[in-house]
Amino acid sequence: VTTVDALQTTLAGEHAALWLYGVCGGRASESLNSSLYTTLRAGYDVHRGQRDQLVRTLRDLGTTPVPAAVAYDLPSPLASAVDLQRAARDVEQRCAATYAALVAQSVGDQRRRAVTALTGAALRVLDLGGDPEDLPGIGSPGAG
Amino acid sequence: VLATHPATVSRRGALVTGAVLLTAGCDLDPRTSEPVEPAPTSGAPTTTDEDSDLALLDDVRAAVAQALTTVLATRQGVPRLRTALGPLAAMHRAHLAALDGAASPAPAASRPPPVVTGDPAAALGGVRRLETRLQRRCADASVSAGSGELARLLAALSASVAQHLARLPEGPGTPQ
Repeated sequence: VTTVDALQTTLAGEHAALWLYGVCGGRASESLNSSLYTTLRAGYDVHRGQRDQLVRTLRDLGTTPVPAAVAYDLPSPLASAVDLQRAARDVEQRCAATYAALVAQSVGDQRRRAVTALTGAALRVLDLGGDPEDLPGIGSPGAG
Repeated sequence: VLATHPATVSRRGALVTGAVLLTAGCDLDPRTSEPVEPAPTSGAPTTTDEDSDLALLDDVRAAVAQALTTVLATRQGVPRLRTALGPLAAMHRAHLAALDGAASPAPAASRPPPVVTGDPAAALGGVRRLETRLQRRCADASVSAGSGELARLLAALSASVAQHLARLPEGPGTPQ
């Protein structure tokens, strides 16, 4: 796995995260659950920024960024506020793992951005009802 | 220097083996099953890289150990914070175990534990500042690490401290 491969994998993850956040945000009720709606909206904005940053980085490296898929598998069920929160939390945990992998495969400013993104994902897990972990993005040693 | 050389070599070996073992079995990216190779940008680890990483590891380990000592002293000296600081103490212990798994720890100078007493709000503020510094230190160490796997471990430590900081109460709570 090269740094470009890891960046492309991370970008693919951001495409998926953005898509799922868009779906969840569209299904969340701003009036009935404003807290969840605000959290999902903020998460969407963060992932859009990170996607755009990754696209710029890959283009600067002379590489064509991977495009978003036409569609993604939706978690099921995805109807209640609890479902939406869990789906977004799962996405953040996957993003944390992806950014942790990018940390290992990058250096310098790129690694710094990956460390920051890993921490951001870990904090959004809390906002989405998760609990603190000993090693976010890695999990328990030996677990997989 | 000669007397300590074999131990240094042994710790170097443990650093490489331990960092890999720590993450072995974890699928780095759930979307792919491709094997993950060493970071191409760092190339083959050099002795200088490994020495720097061992120094980095010792530095972070000392900072985590100091944080644990302070958290335990605060729990002891300020009973109102005992419950609130329990998760932080458990986290630091887990982090020390993870760091010791990456390489056997260098002998550390023993320092007397701090004595923390007095105003719970001030004590909580002190813990918050200490943990904030630790979080930045782990993040900086991650960026500086020569080994990609060590960088990943240190980044996870930083993220974990950030999570626990976010869960610290705003105030000391009611007396227990």
